[in-house]
Amino acid sequence: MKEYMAWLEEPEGIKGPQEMSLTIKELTHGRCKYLGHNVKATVSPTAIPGADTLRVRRANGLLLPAPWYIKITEELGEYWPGRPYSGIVD
Amino acid sequence: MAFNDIRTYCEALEKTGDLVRVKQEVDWELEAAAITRRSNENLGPAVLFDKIKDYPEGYRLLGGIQATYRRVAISLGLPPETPIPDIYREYEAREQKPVKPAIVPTGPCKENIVKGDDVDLFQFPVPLIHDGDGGRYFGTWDVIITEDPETGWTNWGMYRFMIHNKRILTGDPTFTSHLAMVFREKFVPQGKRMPIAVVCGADPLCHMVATAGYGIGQDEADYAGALRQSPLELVKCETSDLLVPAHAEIVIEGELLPDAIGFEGPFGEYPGYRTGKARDGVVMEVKAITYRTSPILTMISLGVPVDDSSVTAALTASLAVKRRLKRHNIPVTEVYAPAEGVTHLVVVGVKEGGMKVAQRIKDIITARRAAINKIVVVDSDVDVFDMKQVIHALAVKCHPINGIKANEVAAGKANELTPCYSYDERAHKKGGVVVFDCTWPPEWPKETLPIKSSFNEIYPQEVKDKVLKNWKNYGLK
Repeated sequence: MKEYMAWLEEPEGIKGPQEMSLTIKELTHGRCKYLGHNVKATVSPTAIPGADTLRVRRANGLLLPAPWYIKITEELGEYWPGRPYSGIVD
Repeated sequence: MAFNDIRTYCEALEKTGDLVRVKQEVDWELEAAAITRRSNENLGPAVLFDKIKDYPEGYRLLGGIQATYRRVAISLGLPPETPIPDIYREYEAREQKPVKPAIVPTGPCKENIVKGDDVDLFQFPVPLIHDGDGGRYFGTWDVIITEDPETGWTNWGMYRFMIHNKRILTGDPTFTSHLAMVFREKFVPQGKRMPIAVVCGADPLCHMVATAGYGIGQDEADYAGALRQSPLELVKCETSDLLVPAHAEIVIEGELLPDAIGFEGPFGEYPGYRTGKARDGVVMEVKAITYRTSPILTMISLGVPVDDSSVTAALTASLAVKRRLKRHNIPVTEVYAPAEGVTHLVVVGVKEGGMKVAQRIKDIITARRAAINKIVVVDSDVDVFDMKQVIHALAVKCHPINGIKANEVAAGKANELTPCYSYDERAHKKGGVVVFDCTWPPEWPKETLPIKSSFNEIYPQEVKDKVLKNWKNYGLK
């Protein structure tokens, strides 16, 4: 079983298994710890059979005490399509 | 005497007791940064870590590079104990004489060259700096180099860049920065990739000028030469025409993508709090890495002041404010941003004050962006570098109603990292600015001004002369 970490905007809004696209970081020890992946996955605070462990932090970095679960369904590209700075007032 | 590289600078710091070399193995994950943070908070030495967990001998980490004014003085070739006002004046004097760089065919940063598929950012002991950060930050104490494609202007800045995978960095050059301005206007709309270099471990003065707010069209390399009092050697990148310091430890060459975003942050930033959150950052695709053998990766363990950022940015911001106020004919004497104010607070000394002048100062300082949001204006008899005098002026000369003017700043101009702003304000870069006028109103008749009761000002000269002459005879030191 692998362990990953994700930073989620409003984790309390997720009550059960939910499919989403997100960036996760590998927590496998060694030189490549915190390697990032953009994935499509089912994420849940409740157990999913055969899932890996997901440590969840809020978007500001605060760690949730209990681990979540993640089942990766698709590895996406190295970056997300989008216009830089488009989310910022200008 | 200028230092050509970070290694000779480290040797100098070691001789004066301003650097400790840690030979015991430390973890790149939090431990190295925690050691550096504690040393910063104790006003302790810079720390060079010789042995990093998971990495072979020779891959090193360095923190606390300019975290005290002693180290700033040493980097300028001044005695370590040089008083802060003297450091300011020397820095300001040298800035007046920019020195063009020397372009050299090669340099130590080319000792090792990795390109294309061989690029692996995890080759280096990139630290996880704070618990909860969004990842490992390669770029903290860095120099980010980009170029305006129309004018050829080369811009240096200091921005954070985090590892996503072995060949992708994501970054957060602030929206109002020169880099972001050029990228948003001259690359993104055209769908063009922007060449960029992330430089770690150059001569410390290079990093210092990267924090400075020189105007559009001003090349920071010329100012690095000014501070060094000799030309800085630059060498061309392997994969672009950008020029980088030839003696740097590590240079990451790449391109910012105009049509991509990547997960970036959160990160414990320079105001001393982690106010930001994970967000969409810019994406840098790495094309090549060049580095010295036994490379030293430089980092800032950012946090509450003082540290490398709060010391150097305070100095360069103060002088930038002074230059700007002079350009606008403000009768400014000195400007000081105490490092503890993390470039949110600045003290401005003026020959003639009053609220009109104070408000002009506020408007000039915040015209483009309002990173500084608290401005204290004092008369020239107050030493801006002496916080005892500044607090006294604020306490007794600033009228609690007439002496304070605050206003909101337009959305997009405020500092999203300022901890006192609400979640909504930070999200929209909204905020405010306040000026504290601690000067006598010019309309008050001179004969009605309160009389300062200090040794220098309330006693006749003959009494002062007598007291000074007999000081030791009184049994005083």
